[in-house]
Amino acid sequence: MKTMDSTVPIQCDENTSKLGIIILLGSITMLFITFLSTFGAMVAKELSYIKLSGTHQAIVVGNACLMIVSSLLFDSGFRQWQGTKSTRSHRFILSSHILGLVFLFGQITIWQILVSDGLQSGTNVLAGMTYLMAGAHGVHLLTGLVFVAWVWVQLYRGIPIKPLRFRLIGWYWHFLTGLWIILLSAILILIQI
Amino acid sequence: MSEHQSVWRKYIFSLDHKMIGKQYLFLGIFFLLFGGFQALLIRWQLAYPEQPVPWWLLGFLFKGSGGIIDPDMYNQLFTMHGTIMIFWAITPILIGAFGNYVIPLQIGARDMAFPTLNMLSFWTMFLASIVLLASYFLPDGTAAGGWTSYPPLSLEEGGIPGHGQTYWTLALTLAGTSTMMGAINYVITVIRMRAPGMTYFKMPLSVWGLWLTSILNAIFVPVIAAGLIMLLLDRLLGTQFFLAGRLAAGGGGDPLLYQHVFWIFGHPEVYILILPVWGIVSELLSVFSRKPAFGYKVTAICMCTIVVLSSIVWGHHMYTTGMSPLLGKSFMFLTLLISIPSSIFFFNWLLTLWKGSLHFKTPMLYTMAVIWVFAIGGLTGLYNATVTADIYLHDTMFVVGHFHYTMAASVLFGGYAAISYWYPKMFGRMMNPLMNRIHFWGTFISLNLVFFNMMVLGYAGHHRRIYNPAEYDFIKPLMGLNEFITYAAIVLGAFQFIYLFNFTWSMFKGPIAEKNPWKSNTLEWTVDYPVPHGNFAEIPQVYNGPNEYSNPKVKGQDWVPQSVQIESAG
Repeated sequence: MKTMDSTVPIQCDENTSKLGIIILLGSITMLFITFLSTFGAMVAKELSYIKLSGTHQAIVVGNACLMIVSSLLFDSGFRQWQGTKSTRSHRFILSSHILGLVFLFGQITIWQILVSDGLQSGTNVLAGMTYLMAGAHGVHLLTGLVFVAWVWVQLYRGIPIKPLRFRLIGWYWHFLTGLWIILLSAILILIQI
Repeated sequence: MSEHQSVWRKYIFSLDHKMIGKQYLFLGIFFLLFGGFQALLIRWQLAYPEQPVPWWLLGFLFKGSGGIIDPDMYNQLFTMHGTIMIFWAITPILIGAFGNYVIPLQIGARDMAFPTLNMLSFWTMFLASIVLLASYFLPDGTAAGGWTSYPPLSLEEGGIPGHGQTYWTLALTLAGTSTMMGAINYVITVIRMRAPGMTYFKMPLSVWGLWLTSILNAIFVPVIAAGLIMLLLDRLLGTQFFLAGRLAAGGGGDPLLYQHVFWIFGHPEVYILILPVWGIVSELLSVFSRKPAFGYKVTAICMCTIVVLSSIVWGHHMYTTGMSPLLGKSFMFLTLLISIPSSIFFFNWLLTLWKGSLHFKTPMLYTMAVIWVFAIGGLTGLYNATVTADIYLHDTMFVVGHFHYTMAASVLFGGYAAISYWYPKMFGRMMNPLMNRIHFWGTFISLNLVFFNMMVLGYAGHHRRIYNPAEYDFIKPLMGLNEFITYAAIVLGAFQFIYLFNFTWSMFKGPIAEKNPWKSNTLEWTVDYPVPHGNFAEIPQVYNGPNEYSNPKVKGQDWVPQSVQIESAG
């Protein structure tokens, strides 16, 4: 019989935490699936029209590439830290964080350009949906930035960090990258129809 | 740690799933009374339209409008009654309270997988409650767009002005966030924290019900969250996702999209609320029939099937929105399919009773009531599921009666069964059985008089959500029935105070409960009251299923705890 002392703090094991983050990410995915389905339904019903110029599309795709690089840098930082436990990996994490920030500011800038070009959220429902998805992704990204910054501070100060926390924050960060790529691809494809 | 801090940690910001369960229970009971009071005001208006509300229904609250309920107030009353009962009463009591209290104890876990998240879940719900209650004090009053809050009615532009609807949307989004936190915790706790030997098919059916509910919550609450965020932006930032026609400056969006989003969540929500009750009923029938739950595995599989089917039938709420007849037929077919697994486990319930040694303790009485009301609610659901019948019945009091049989009556009796059953473990004392029996019969009779007659009204053409039914010639002959329902509802309300008194009085004066007063097999009854944080000094090894009652291998008693090997029990 497995014996436990009831005074020991209750802690969940590694797989429980991993499952927790998977279910959380699944629920976040459902939120965005609903947004995207609504966007698709609006396109199908021709409720409004949105056209992005070649320049706009290039900026949007370029910005998304920053997020991909950020994700790769985080992964490199994690792998180096995992292999050597070297705190030097903080440089990768810092770079990843900075690129995340640049991506976020890039999103805001693109948003402002589109609004100034006449794509108002209040008058064009597809533009509104696009802003909503970008905004909702941005809010999640802000949370991610806080976590990534926390990892960087720990590494920079040489404070021991639990591998599981590092890994799960990485999962969240990669998820946000993947999510944005899917959202962006879907938006660009749907508005061409 | 000082005494004061420990009290703070123990009772307010507790990480113990049992204390959090109790917090949810008290929150839910408060809102149950509040929502129930609003129901009586709605009934008063329908029986005696535009007549002053009597003092015993707190008529002074309406002195600003000459003692009567004006149309805006009436809209607010039925909106908030529905919202509060579904999201602030049923959800906290059945899922919040019993999900928290029962799951870890019944699966042999020391707590939820994430205790801090569990605590945050309750306090997010508390914050949502404050936002919701604050909306009553706004100059234009609280939300008035119905519990479904369809646009454009729920929008600022061409809909309901003021901030009440905005507060409603915000409160519901917060409540959804709380539910999500709880759902993630419950799902993972069941998957990862089960005691050794506790396989899925050795879990009590009450855990099955709560677990499947949590899976539905984790999947579908984000869907309504998306709809609510869009609704909120429409109201606050001038987007036009759900605005159409001449009110929409740039062409706008589509109000029907909200209905789709709402019901993609809304229909699973029906099962979210009822699955815990089905699980509890399945479990309690076995306990009080002193025999194994008939078709245990089949019941569990049927509940899983219903979870899947519930996700693809939302369109039956929208037959009258002008959907394609082919689509309507598809939704009808899928909806009627649900009756197959529902019927199977319903018959399993009956066969559990068959030739059982029935003990009509009060939890059993409430359980039997669920069988009755769910049979009526389920069968009348077939009419609503059928396109041709629904086109006539849609938006009538028939739907209100059906909905209340399935949701209000089933869930109310299921909740009473759960409270009465686990009360000894939660509070260490027994409830007074005589008061519970009086409450049971008073509630059972009056509740049927209320909800069955609502269906009669609806069948005769009485619409729902109308302010003054006496204005319609075809309803005038039904006003006598409306008055009768109102008096039955008042009786129903009055009987609830007996339970409330018993609940409170027994907490302090009830006889001390023995460790396992119902002679149940499940693990929660193997630990002494008060159950410490951590539940089990030793994590139990599970050998048997939860319903091994009257097993011939066990000598001298008709029960055997799940943690005792049957060979050694005799």
